Amino acid sequence: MIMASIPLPTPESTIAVGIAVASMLAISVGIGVYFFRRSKNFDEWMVGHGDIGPVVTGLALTATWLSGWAIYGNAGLGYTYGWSGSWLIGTANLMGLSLCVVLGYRMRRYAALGARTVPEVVRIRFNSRLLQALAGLTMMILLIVYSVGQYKAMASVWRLTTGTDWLWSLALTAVLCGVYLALGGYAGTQFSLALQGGIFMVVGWIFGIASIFWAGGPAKIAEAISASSFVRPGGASTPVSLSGYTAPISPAFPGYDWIGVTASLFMFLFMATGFPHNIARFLGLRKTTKKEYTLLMIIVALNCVTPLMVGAMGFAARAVWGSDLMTLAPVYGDAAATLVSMALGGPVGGAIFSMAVFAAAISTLAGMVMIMATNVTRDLINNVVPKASPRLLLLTSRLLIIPFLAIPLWWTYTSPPPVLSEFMSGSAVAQAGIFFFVVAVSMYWKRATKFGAIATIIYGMGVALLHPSVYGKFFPPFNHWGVWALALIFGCGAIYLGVSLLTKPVPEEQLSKIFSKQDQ
Amino acid sequence: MRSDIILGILIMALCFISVPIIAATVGGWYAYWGTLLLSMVWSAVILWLKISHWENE
Repeated sequence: MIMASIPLPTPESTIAVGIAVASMLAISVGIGVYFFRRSKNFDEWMVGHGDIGPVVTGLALTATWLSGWAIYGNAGLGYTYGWSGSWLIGTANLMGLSLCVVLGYRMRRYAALGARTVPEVVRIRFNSRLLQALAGLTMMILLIVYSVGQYKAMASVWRLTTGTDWLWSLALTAVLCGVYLALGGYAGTQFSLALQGGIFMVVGWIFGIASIFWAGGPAKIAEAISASSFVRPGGASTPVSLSGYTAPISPAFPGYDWIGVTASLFMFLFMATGFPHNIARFLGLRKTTKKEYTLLMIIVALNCVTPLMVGAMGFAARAVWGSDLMTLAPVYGDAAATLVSMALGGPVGGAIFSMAVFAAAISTLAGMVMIMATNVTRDLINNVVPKASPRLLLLTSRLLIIPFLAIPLWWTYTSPPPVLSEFMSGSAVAQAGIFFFVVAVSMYWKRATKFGAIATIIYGMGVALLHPSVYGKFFPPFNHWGVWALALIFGCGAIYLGVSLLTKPVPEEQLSKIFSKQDQ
Repeated sequence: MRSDIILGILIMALCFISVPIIAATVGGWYAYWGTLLLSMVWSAVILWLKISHWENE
């Protein structure tokens, strides 16, 4: 095993990180200001003009999909769990996102029918305001949880590269994000997301490939991983080998056994489409040709390699530093990618990588905050008061950005989750199980009913509480992550299918407005 | 169901099932990047299915 010193933050790295992150945010705010003039009313602010092209949509989609989890947490997974961390790294994440590209394209049809939010797609599909409100409320709960992970990624990378407290830097980041969201609305955010997606794709690929050579090549890394065993955060060694694709560390760990592995594969397959902030990217997409659509898919495929590149940085760190990072409280193995970037490129390398992490985390956060703000105004307030003034709704949406940025920030500051990716996977599984069926399948399956959708949401949220780290530990077999995730995802599917078939179908005259003759 | 759709779904299912199989049998980097390769095949097949049954949404 090669041993090298672990990089430490310096005054130069602090300045470099500050400049890099500020530059990225300044350009994003500039984009927001540019689109301010094009977001004149509530409708335009929510969904733009439906004229966004495939390149911007493809990059924006990967930006909301690949969050702090992919650009920061993945190296921690590879470092901490070896090959068995690959399942949460998302080696098969492209399968899920390409499914989203295919299923999500139909969102345009609903946008043409007046849908401005994802729950509104559900309302149009089932002609149910209750379902729209319920879907909106569910999204808010799950997305708040997922937002915490984005702040934790940014906070940890800031601390590691600058050595300073992160609260004020993150508060400033949140303010700037709020500014470009409030000004630019959907269209401005979509272009900012595209910029951020492009940044972390290039940075992730470069550092991923460089890290493999830095650690002595693929064979040396594989050899080091095979010789490693699991070390708990804090530094306590265990006899659990990291040489295989499963590691019996704890039933709450997705790579514990092949049940957990199967569940994580299905989670990745469904959650890309289930994420409301992902599928919403298609609301503003213009009509595309087959060639443009292929281009969109190619962009998606290229950026879905990025999580694997970052995972490789974690393996490289394990080969070079052994288990030393497991004593590095409070981030432990999650420090791997940032420290590798500093080892590779000094303060500038650390700064560029930090910018990529901020780009990934802030893009997902922005997508989610936009969803949550419009969940309140469009899916709840406007739903109950259809004649509410659009100007008032626009102002309220802009103001709501503040609490939806502040609440997860405060949560992260007062009670940060211990292991980022595991925490986020809890919310991800619930979004995958519920919204894959309620939103995506409903756009294609004519026999789906509102009662099927409502029952799915209730079941999914109920089972989400049985996550192994919440109440599942008291109710075996839900203390096993794989059992819990499979019960949630396939339980949602079974409830959706069963209740829909047992209840009265949506009248044909209503369906004919939504489904084309080709779908008959 | 048309035969091209059945063939496409079969290839996609095969790609999905192969992921844990290569992880359990081959392991290491081959399984890591092999999963990406299988995902690329999956992605190409789903794109082909979409393009060949193109609908103007």
